[in-house]
Formats: sequence, C-alpha cells, structure tokens
Amino acid sequence: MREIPHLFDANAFLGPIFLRHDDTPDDVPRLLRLMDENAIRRALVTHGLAKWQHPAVGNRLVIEETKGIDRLVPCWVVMPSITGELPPERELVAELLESGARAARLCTGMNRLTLEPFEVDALLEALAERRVPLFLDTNNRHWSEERPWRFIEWAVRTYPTLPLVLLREPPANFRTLFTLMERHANLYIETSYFQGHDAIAHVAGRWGAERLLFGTGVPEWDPGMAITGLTYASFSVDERDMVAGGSLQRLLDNCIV
Amino acid sequence: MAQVTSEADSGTMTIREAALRGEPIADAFIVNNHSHLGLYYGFAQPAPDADSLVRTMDRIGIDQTCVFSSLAITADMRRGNDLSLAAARRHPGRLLAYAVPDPNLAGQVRDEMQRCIDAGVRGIKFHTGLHEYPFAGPAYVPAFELADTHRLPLISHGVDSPDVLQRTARSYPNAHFIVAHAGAGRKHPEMDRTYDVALEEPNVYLDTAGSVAQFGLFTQLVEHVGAGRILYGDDFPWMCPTHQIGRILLAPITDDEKKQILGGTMRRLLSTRQ
Repeated sequence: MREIPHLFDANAFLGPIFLRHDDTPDDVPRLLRLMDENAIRRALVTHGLAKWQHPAVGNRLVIEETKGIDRLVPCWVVMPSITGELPPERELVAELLESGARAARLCTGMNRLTLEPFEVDALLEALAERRVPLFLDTNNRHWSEERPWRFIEWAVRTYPTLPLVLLREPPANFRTLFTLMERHANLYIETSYFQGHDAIAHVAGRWGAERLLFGTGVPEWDPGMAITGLTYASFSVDERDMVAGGSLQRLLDNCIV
Repeated sequence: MAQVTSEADSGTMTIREAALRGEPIADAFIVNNHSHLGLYYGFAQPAPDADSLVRTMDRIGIDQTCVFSSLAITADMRRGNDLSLAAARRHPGRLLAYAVPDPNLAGQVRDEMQRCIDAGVRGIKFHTGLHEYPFAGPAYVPAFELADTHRLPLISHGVDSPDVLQRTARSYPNAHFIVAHAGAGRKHPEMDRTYDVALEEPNVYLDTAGSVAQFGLFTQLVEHVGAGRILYGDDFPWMCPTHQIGRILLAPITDDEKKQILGGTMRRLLSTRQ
C-alpha cells in the first residue's frame, strides 16, 4: 500500500482573503485545521492582506503570524520600489531573507503591473542575485485567460539564476509552455490547476519531477483536486514525492541567505 | 458543514484515505458521466485516446465512463459519433457511447440519433456553445423525443435558462436531464434558479465537471440540493480525471454522499434504457 505523501503546499494564503465566505479559514488555527484535514504537512504562505490590501502590511503580518510555527514558511509579495511603497529592490530582498521568508510572489494583475522589463528588471535582478524563487500570480481563474508569455520568456532567459514558478498554470497552454520548459531549466510549474490529462506525469517524465511543485491555492481554491491530481498521477513514488514537496524544498534551500 | 465520517471504507480504508494514498477506490461503483475522446484543435491534450482513458480509470477505480468524442461536438457529428461507438466496442462495459446531434445539420439529426440508438448508445450529449444553437431550438426536438422514448440520460452544455430547462424537463419526463458543469458549486446557491429546478424536477441533475473549484462551494451545493441531484463528471481529456474526482473524494461530506455522487445515481439513470 502506498504511503500518504508528505505534502508541502507551494501556494497557500494565511489570513483574510477577498470574497471569502463563512467556511473560509482566515487565521492560523483554521488554516492549520484545513491542512490537517487534507494531510498537508507544511505550506508556503502569503498573507491575504499582502495581496488584497498591500504588501507593506501583509509582509509584516505573515512574519508575525507564522513565528514559531514550523509548518508555515512565509512568502512575501514584492513590487517595484519606484513609488516608495516598498524599499529599494536589493534592500527588499535582503529584508525578505532576514525575516525568514524564502520566496516572493508577484501579483501582476492585482498590483496593475505591466511586466515590461523597464518596470520590473531591478526587482528580478535583486531576486536572481539571491536565488529567491519568484511565484507569478496573475490572479487567473479559468484556463481560457491569457498568460503573460512575453514576460515569462524574457524573465527566465534574462535571469537564469531566478527560479520562476507559474502559479495556477492552466491546462490549455502546452504548445507555448512546453517550448519554454524545454529551453529554460529555471521555469517551474505549480500543479493546482494543471489538469491536462496525466500532464503532471508527462512533464515529470520529460523535464524531471523537480520542475513541478505541488500547490493548492487554499483557502481560495479547493485543495481536493490538487491533491488527487498528484496522488493518482501515473508516475513513480519517488517522482510523486519530489513533486509533493521535494522540489519546493530544493528551491527554498537554494536561496543565498 | 457536514461531518467527515470514516464509516464506509474501501477495503480497510475510507474514501478519503484511499484518495490521499492514490489507491483505487474499491468500495464505490464510479461512473463518470461526462467525457470526451480524441484530438481537438484548440489545445494540446495529452493521451486523449480510449486506451489511455481506461488506464487512468483503472488507477483511480472508475468503473464506467460516458464518452462523446470531441469531433462529435465540433466539426463532424457522424464521424465523431462513430469514434465514440468504436471506443465503447473496444472497451465493453467500461466506456459507454453517447450520441451528439449537430443542430446546424437539422435535417440529419433524427436519422443520426436513431442510427446511434440502434448501435447501442447509452445517452445523448448537446453542446449548445460550440454548436452555437439554443437548447430550446427546434433542431434538437428529435433528440429530446428519442431521449424520452428510450429513457436516456441527456447531458447538455448550455440550457438557455433555468425556465427553459424546467419547461423542457416537464415536456420530456422520461428523459434524465443533466446540466453540464453546474454541479461544481457556485456562490450563493440559494440564489441560483438552476438549483431550484434541480430541486423541483425529479428528472434534472447537475454534473460536477469543471476546471474551477472555489473553496467550499461544492460542499455548500451538496448541502443545498442533496447528493442525489449531483453526478460525477470529469471532462476528459479537456481536464484530467485525477484532478476532477478529488473535488468529491476529499470533500467534507459523508462517504454515503460521495458514493451517490460518484456513481450510485448515474448507474440508476443508465439502467432505465428501453
């Protein structure tokens, strides 16, 4: 009988999220209870208010609220510094690492970023210097929505030491996505919405299981589909365990602290 | 929210435990009521063939899948229906062919549906969106009549409106109407008239296939309409059964409710064919 994998969720929110309902966990105890119910051992967490209010608020809260809780690893939301809302890019990344966070999230649509190189090059350069993985959050809901492919291609080509993780990557873009997976080893896929038929095993077999990160999107999205998408994928237990959490741990360990 | 139970088991495991381990669900008869087959122009779909589908079904423990080829819902009704029938012949008892009418070929619909029924199809599928034709349009009438006469499931992507759905369900009371993609859960189900129709009409059901799964909404739907109105579907190969079934297997509902949704109800609907 197969063991339950050690799930390390690469895509979770802590605290209030916008448009939640009564059953939505919105604090640490409720999030941990939801994780227990779904056998999720650890999670990389962004604070809901970092996305739905402002990074300056949420990044501070995620550090405070995860203090002493080994199961929760903080992730910051980052933005360009030109407006003075956040510190200059290199200072921001240094503070992120000093705080204990080990990853960054770029909320492109929510923060009205164009993703033009002139806008985000300093930020990506600072993250790449410290090998802090960048999680791209376009706030997409449905597979038919456009993805910012020109930015993605430019980012992974220009900053080869920057791990770029596509959150909630949909199943409809394989003709484009696979081209970039073939060419850029620093491009990664979070699996919560990666629902093409047996696509997780297909990608693992072709480019390695370490290019896939298990994630759920809780508590905005239902974790059940993401979990069985992993547990019933047609790959080996070793590959499954790498996707379940090994690949995320590798990226976090690779930060230059 | 409903309590999670550990009463029902698959072997020595609950459905939840089997799902977390990736073991086939052994203690429930699972019928996927919504699946396509074959190549599609719109995006790359890995391994979309019948043999690959059955291998995936075996890994999960899915007993039967209702299939209607992607070709049938797009460019070629007759060739597409033949693909579905061929898949069912290749995997008897596992894949159940449905017939798809193309209402743009209105003059051919009745003969094509009758041909498919004579060949053994187990249900009928409409795709009002891709075929750009209203559910209430006259070209679909022969398909409604045959579904009623033969007591078949009829799943439709698009039903115009809840009122049209209700009128149609009452006009053809022996057909089993399944609203594609409506059973995944929506916000504020008490405000959604489609769910009222499912509660009011004994021959209206909701299909779970859908890529989007907002947290908690499926459970709220089960509480609102009851597990007996909801049918498991996964939309293979547009989506993967491995993902789609997780909405049910890991939901905080009872195993008895899961079994109804996974196949208990659909098995009964498939058994009424005359």
